[in-house]
Amino acid sequence: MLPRTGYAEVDAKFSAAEASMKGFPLRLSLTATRQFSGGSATTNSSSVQTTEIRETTADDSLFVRPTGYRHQQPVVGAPGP
Amino acid sequence: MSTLRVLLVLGTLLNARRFDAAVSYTVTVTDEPETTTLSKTRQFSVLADTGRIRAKKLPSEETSLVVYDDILWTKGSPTVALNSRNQTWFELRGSPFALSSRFLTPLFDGTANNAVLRLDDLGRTAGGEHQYTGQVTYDVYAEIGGERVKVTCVAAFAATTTENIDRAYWRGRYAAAHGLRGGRREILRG
Repeated sequence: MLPRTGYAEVDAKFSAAEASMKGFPLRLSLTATRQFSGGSATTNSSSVQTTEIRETTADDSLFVRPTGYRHQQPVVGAPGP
Repeated sequence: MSTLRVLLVLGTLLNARRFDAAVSYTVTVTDEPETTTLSKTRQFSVLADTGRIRAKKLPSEETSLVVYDDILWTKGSPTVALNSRNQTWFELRGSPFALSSRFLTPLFDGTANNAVLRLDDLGRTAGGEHQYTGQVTYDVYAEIGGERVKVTCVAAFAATTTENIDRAYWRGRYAAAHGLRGGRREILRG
C-alpha cells in the first residue's frame, strides 16, 4: 500500500506504518521530492485509485501461466542513429 | 457401483473446474512526471482471491508498445508478466499498481540515514472508510566516482481505505527498481 525504496531503514518505517493502517486501499497518493546536494529540488506525483469492486468467483485456471508460453525477458532499447 | 461408473465419477471429479470466492476491481495508476505537464495513466482489471491475483492491463491510447498485458501472482512466488501477442512470460519486480516514485530511490548503491516517518490517522467514517496522511524524510548517501553524494528525499502521502474488504485481496507492494547506480557520474554531473 505504501511505497518501498530499497533502503532498509526507510522501508522498515514504511512497513511499520502500513501495518498500523486498516483496510483495503481505495485511494492512494504520493508526492515525492528529491534534491541532490547543491542542486535544485525536483518533484513528481502519483496516485492509485481502486474502483468497481465486486465480489465474484475465480476459476483456478485463471491464475496459472498458460501452457505454450516461453520465458523471454523484454528487450528494451533506443532506436539507433 | 460398477468399475465403469467409478471411473466416470473419478473422471468428472478430475475434470471439474474449481471456483473460489474472489474479488474483482479496477486499478487506475496516474503518474505526473516532473518534466512535463502530461500525466500518464495505466489501468488494470484485477481478479483476486486471498492468495492469488490476475491483473489484466487495459489497452491505452498513449502507447502501442506492449511489454506485457497480463500479470499473475501467487503468494510466495515472483510476479509473472505475460505477453499474449508473443506468448512469452518473464518475472516482474513488485507490482505495477503500487504507489511508487523513482525519486524515493535516487541512488541504487546508496544508504539512507536520518529517516523520519509520521503517520496521522484522520479517523473512520460511518461507512467504514479510514483516512490517513503521512510524510517521510531521509537523506541518501553514496560514493560516486570518488565523491560522496548526498540526496535529500521528502515525500507526502495520503490513503483512504475501507474495512469492508480484506486487504489480502490487494497486491500493491512495490520493489524499488529505479535510481542511479554508482559510477554513472556523467549523469550526476550532466
